[in-house]
Amino acid sequence: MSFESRFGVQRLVRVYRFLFLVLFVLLGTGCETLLMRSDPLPVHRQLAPLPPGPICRVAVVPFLNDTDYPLADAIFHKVFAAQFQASGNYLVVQEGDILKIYQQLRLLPGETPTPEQLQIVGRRVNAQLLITGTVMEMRENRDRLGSTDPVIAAEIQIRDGNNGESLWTAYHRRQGIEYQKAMHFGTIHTITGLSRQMAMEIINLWQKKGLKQCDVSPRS
Amino acid sequence: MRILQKIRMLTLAVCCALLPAIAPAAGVPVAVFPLQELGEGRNEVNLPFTRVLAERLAESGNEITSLQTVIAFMANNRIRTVGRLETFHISRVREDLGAAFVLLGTVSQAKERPEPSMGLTLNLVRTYDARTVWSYVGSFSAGDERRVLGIGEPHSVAALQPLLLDEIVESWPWEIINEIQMGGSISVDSIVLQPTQVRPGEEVQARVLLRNVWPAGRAPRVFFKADDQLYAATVSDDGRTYEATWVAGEKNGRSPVTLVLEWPLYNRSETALLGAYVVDGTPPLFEIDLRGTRLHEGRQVFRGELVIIPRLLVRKPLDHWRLAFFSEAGNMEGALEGKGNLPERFIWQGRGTHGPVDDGKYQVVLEAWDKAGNSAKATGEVVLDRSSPDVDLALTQSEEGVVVDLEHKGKVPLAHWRMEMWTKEGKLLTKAEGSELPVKIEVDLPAGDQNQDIRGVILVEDVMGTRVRRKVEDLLPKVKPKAEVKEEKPTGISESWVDEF
Repeated sequence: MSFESRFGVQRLVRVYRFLFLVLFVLLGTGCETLLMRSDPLPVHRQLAPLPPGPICRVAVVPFLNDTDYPLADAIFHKVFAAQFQASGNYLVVQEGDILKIYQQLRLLPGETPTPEQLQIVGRRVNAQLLITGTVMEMRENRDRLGSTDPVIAAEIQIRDGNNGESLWTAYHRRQGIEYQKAMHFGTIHTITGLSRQMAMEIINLWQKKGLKQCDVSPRS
Repeated sequence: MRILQKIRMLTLAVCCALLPAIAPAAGVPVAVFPLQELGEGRNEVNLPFTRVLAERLAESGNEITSLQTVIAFMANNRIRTVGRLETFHISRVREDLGAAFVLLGTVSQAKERPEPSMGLTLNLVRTYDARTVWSYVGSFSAGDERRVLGIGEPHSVAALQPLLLDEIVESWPWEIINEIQMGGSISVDSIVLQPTQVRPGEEVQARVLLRNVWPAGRAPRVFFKADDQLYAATVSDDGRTYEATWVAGEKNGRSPVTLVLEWPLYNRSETALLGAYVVDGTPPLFEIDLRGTRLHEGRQVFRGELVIIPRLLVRKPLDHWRLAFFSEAGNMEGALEGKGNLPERFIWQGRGTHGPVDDGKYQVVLEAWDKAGNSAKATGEVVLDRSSPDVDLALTQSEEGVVVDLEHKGKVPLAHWRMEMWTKEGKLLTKAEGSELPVKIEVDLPAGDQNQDIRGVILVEDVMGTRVRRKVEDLLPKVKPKAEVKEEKPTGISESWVDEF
C-alpha cells in the first residue's frame, strides 16, 4: 500500500468517525424523534354522515373513565370541551345545563348513559351534535431526567344530537415525549397539556374530514 | 450609548402608540366564580387560586365582582357545584350582580409530585346570551421550565401560578370584552315624575313601573335619589310599581332624580337616571306700561282704548296669566285669562263682563304664574272718561259791549280752544284762542247793534284729541239788552227815567 493510498484511507476513517459522532450526539439528545418517528394521527372512523351544513350547537357530555387515574374522564372532558370551543365558533352547551339534565335522569358523571338518555340530553339542550368520550388510558411515567411523561389514550365519538346515534369516532393515543423536538424542548410534561394537544389533533382531523365550523362569531 | 437611547425612545413611542388599542374597557364587570379543582373529588374548590386570578385580572384592567359577592350569590341561589353554571344562573348573574361576563374554570391538575405541575381550563361566558366566548387551556410543570444548571426553575405549584397567570392575561379576550356595552339591568317600563317645576318646599312625586320582577327574598331595596338624598320607595302589590314623595329643597336649580336599586346581600347597587325637576322659588318679574292715556291731575286718563303692554324684566316661561280690571269700589269688572306666555299687548276698550263699564277710576291688574306656580302681579291705575270737552259760555253786558265768560266744564284738560263771534250780518266781533280756560273776553258791540243776535262758534279740543264744535247761539240765550240787565239788578233808577231815556 502506497503512502498516498494509506493517507486516503485514514482520511476516510476520520470522516466516518465524525459522521458517527454526529449521529450519536443526535440520538443521545433525543432527536431520534426527528429521525425515526412521525406524528401518529387519531384513528378515525365514519359510521354515518354528519348533519348537513355548518354545525353550531354542540353538547360535550361527560366522558367515561376506563382507567385507574382519578378523574381522568373529568380532566379530559374539561380540556376537550374548552379546546373544542376555542377551535371554532361553536355554541357549546353549558356544562351546567347538561349536568342538570343528568341529575334529572339520575345519571352520575362517569356513568354510561343509554342511547335513550343521550337522545333526551340532545333534544333538551337542542344540540345538533353530541360529543361523548371514553378515556382508556391515562398515566404519568417518568423520563430519564425525572420529569413526568404523560400517556393518554381516548376514544371520542360524535353523535347525532337528535337520536344519540354514533356518527364518527376517533381513537387517539399519545405520549408526552413523542412531541420532543431537540434537547428536552417540545416534550409535554402534563396531563392537561397532553390532553389539550390530543384534543386539538382530533378536532383538526375532524375539521379536515368535513366537520364544518359555525359561522356565528362570538363577537356578533 | 446614543443608539441605545434612540432605541429606548423608539420603543417608548411604539408602546404609547399601541396603548389605546390595548387599553382595557372599564365598567364591564366580570364575575369570577370559584374554581373547581379536580383533586380528590369532582366538586373541590380552589379558593386561593381563584382570589389570585381575580386580583391579577383586576390589576390588568378588568372590573371584577368581588369573590365575597359571588359566594353570596351562590349561597342565595343554592349553587352547590363549582366549575360550571346553568344558563338560568348565568342570566341571573347578570340580573343580580350586573356582571357582563362569568369566568368559570377548573384546576385540572395541581400536584407537587412527581414534579410540580398545574393545569387550568377557563371559560368566559357572556351573561346576556350565556355563550362561552373565550376558552383557555393552560398547563405548566417544572419539566417545562428546565433551565441551565437549574437556576430559577420553579420548585412548587405556587411558583408555577405566575406563569399561568401571565399566559391568561396575555391571551385575555379584550376585543370581545371591549365590545360589550354593559347597560344596566334595570328595565324601566314607565316613569311619572311630577311636577317638573316646583317651588321650594313643595312635594315631588316619582313613580316607576319596572319590567323586572324579583321573587321574594331577592328583591332589591329601591330608592329615589334627589339632591343627594335617598327616599325609600313603596312597592305596589304586584311588585312592579315603586313610588315615593318628598319635599323639594330650598335651593333653586335642577335636581336630577335617580332610581337606586340596592342588593345589600351582594353589596352592589344599580342606578337609572329617571329625569329631573327644577326647583324655582323666584316669581316672574314683570311690569306693565299703559299707553293711550293722558296724564291729568296725576292720573292717567283714557277714553277709547287703553293699551297695556306687559314687559318681562327677566325672561322666564310662564304657565298662565290673568288680566283683570277693578273698579274704585274694588269690584272686578272684567277679566281675561290665558295659558303660556304673556301676549305682546292687551287692548282694553272699556268693556267689562256685562258690557261697557262706567266712566271712572279703574285698577288694571296683570297677574302671571310661572311653571313652578310662583306668581307675581303688576298693577296700574287709569281713569276712563268718555265725556267730550264741554264749555260753558256766559255773556254779560258791559259798558262797551259784552263780556264773554268761557269756562271748561269737562274732566279732560283742554289742549286748545278757539272762539269766533260775529253779528247777524256777519261782522266779526271777536276772535280769540288759547289753551287754558276759563277766560273772560270783552267784546265791543257796535252802536245800534245792542239788540242784535250774536252768532259765533267755539272749537274745543281736549288733550285726548277730542274736538267739539259748538255754536255760541246754542250755548246761551239771546243777549239781553243793558236795560233789561239793569232791570234785573235794581239800581235805584226809576223805570220812568229809563223810558224817557
